[in-house]
Amino acid sequence: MDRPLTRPLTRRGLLKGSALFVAGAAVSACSTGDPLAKGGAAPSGSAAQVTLTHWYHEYGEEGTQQAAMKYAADFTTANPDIAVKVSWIPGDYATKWTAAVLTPEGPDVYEVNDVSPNMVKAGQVTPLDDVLGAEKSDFNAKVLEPYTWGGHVYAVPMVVDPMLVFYRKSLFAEAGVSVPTSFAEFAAAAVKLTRGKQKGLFVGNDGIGPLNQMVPWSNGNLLIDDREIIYDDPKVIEALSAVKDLYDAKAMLQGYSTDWWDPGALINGAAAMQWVGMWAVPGLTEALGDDFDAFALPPFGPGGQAVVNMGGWVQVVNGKSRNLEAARKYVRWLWVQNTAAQTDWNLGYGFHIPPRNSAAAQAGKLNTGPAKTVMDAVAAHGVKQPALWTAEVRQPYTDAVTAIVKKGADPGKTLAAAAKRSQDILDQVPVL
Amino acid sequence: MTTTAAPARPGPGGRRAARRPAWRAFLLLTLPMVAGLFVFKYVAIGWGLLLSFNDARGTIALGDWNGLDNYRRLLGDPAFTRSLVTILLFTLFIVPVTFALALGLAVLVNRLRGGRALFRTTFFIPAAVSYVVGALVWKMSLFSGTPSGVANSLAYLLGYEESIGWVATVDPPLYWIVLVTVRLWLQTGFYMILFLAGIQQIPAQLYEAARVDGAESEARLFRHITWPMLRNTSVAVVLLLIINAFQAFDEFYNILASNLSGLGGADGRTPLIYLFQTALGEQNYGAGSAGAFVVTVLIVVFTLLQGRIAGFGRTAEEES
Amino acid sequence: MRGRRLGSYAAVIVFAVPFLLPFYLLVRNALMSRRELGSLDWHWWPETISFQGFADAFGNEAVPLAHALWNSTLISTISAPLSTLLASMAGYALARIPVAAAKPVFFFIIATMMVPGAATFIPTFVVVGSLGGVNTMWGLIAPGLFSAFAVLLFRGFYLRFPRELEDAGRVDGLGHLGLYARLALPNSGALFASLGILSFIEHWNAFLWPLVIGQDPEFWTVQVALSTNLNQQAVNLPALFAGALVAILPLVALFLIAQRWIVRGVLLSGIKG
Repeated sequence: MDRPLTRPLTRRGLLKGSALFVAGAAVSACSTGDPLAKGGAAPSGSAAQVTLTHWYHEYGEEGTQQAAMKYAADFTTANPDIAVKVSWIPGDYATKWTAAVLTPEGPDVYEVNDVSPNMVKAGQVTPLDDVLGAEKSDFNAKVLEPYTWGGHVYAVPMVVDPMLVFYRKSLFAEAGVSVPTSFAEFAAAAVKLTRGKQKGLFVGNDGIGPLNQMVPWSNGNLLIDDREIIYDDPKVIEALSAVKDLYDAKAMLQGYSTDWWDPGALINGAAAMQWVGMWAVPGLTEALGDDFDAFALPPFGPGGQAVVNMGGWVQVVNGKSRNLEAARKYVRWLWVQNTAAQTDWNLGYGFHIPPRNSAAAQAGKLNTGPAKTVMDAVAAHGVKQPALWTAEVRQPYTDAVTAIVKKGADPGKTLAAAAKRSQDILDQVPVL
Repeated sequence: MTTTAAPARPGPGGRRAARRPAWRAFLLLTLPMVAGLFVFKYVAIGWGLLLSFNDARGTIALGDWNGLDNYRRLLGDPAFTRSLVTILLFTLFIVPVTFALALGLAVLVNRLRGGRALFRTTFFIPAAVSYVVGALVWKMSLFSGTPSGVANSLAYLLGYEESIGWVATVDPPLYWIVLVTVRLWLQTGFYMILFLAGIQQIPAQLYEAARVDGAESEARLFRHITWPMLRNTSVAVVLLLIINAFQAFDEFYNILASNLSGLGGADGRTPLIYLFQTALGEQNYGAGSAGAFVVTVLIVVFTLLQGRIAGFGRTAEEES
Repeated sequence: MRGRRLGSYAAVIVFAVPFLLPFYLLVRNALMSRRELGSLDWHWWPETISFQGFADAFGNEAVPLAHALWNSTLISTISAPLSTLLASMAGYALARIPVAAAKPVFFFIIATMMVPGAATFIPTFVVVGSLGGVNTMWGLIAPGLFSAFAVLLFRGFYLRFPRELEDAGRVDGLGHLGLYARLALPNSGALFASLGILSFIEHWNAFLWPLVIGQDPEFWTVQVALSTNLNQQAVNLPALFAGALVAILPLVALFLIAQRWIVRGVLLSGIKG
């Protein structure tokens, strides 16, 4: 809580400095007198007895940071004894929060994609059943499920992000390409759309991106089934071989200045199709008018399934927070009760699906144009990543895919070895 | 401590008086350094070692002992062994290239009559730039995947119209060109300075004597005089280069990061990137500490070996 | 002879071009507009010089560059003199104060030289983290203050310190501390400056440790801020390069002004015994 930057000189800050430094006093004095300090993030709040720190990863859309700060300020207006300091963390967010929550000074409230049993065991999260309260039934059950351990829900969903393929309608028409209905058609379209400095498809700067999971999914294998690794499988081999062929066809954009989550490549004409989330819709509309639409990744072949990846961010409360009650109160106020803020957050900037069914049903902006295409695709093909597919478990798999797709490693052997490792790691995950 | 001071006690009063302040002064002057090294080196390594015998997921506290599990996991992980191979290859590549370039530039600059300072500064100034900035220029401008990147524009001029994703291409491993050249640019000047100083310490009479003996060509002078006289400098340069290469992190992290988690893929994962990923990415501080210990031991063993080999070489030379 | 000299000049110029190219790119890209830099075609120089990149770099609320520059300045200006002073103190004591503990203390200090700094970032993180140093100024600074190598250099320097000078000081009634503070320290200015400047450069350019320990944007150094810019969702290229240009300017200036000291420092630290 002790942030010399945002407060006048505090005794503790001073002691901390002088204990270690000859120049200790000078340090604290200097850092408080910082003329360059950015203002605004901190509450000017005076009466507050408690200051919560709230971490967001960087949302790319203009206005989101200001919105997050406004919600915090509104909360303090309603609850004068609790101030909220919003920290906006661009870049490598995952390693930043993991290091921060190890310490007593970690954020009280932060957002994540996954909640693993290890996080529960280490007390980095805390059950939020009473925070969800009676409204729990109004939340999308599919979305809550991966955050539920031992009967407790550890997170409140903030945004649901469908990810799928967006494309330029005009470029499709020019090249005589129609929306593909199988992976083979999809790959053929990518090749056909590659001309001059324009590439057919952009899925990520490494040339594989999320396809490493999405294509096997579309062939009917989710890679993991509860506590069992199932990706050492002919269906996955088949899918990855097709990804390799697509990669070798040189129809994919690589090493662009922004990565797949930013629609820049599609807007600038560097690629004709791009894997990106629904959040990009307002930006695309502004730049391209109605010259774009979306489709789910088509079923791999007969027996496959079309895929829309249902990602998103959820809010968790740090189990080691010194202000646990205040933090719960804040999360309930913001992400459960305050439907106006939720709607603003999900629809005011980039487009996301509000996690509450009642709010999603009323989201008029999602009922027209490409957003509607996406919503229909979600209803038909939405797939949520299994809960135990954590960073540690999937690392052997991602490495294996890189070796297979980019270097022509033998798919069967490579996947078998990786699956063994993933299984070992998975076996060590505590059962809750 | 009191026992070592004891012999002073029966001595003459004057000496006794001089001793006590000597002790106090010694303690005062060395204590900050000793305490700092104790906490940040000795305690850190000891604690890390203990933690490496713990199941420390999502925590840095001791308590959940699991024996050698972390080491087993680490050494059984092809990604870790591959990171060691990766750094070995990188070292094998970057060390001789930097060495040759730095030595070559030093010889060249030394031969100049006018403008020596200007060119020395030109080659040395990249040493002022951080690896982050170097990585940024290399990734986003020199070797960016867009057609307007410098490398791609050059390739275009040479008739190669397909724009190349330098950083993303692993087969052939074009990303190595990016990683090696950025480090070359950043560090060569530093070592050139070392060589330049070494060359300037060689007595001019040696060259004159050799010329009298009929050694006219520059190549022969270099081989018979410059090179042997630079032996100590060369040994130091090689040692520094290897140790620095082995700890590569900054440019790998910044150039190869390709997703929100900021971590590159299997290719170009150095041991430190692997450890960063294990500890901070996957929150496995036990395995991370085990890896840190293994890497540290490797470097220490190497340093000792190198010192021994160089030491042997030196005594052999002195004897001859 | 003349031809050979011309050849040398031709060769150094050929090498100098790639060494200067990145600086040119930094300047060119920083002065371009976003549209021009993002275009698919090559441009030698911005059509119209734009300072928007600098405005964007400093105006980005998500990555507080100005504050990061301030942090780096603070860290480097504290660390450089302080770490050099600590090393000189220890070096003097080890060289000049004859106590029995000098030898073991010396070995205690130089033994740490074998252990590479970067490789131990996890154990150091564990200790500093346990002491509550994550996201604090002291956590950023403290581990970088103790250089066994600098101690070694200062010890070597003070061993060669003229005994007559010290004797004269003793006659004037100076004790060991007085001798250090009044005589030894003021007379080690050259070494102090060389190592201090080198240490400043090292701290300004440090990346791994600040990345690991300073998670909160409030504690980002300029290198972490730049790296974050590089990994941002939507990269603003001119701003990225403008920020990088600002970040290297202090050190480039330092190199041009104080090159003599830097070269001395490089020589001292390059040739280890």
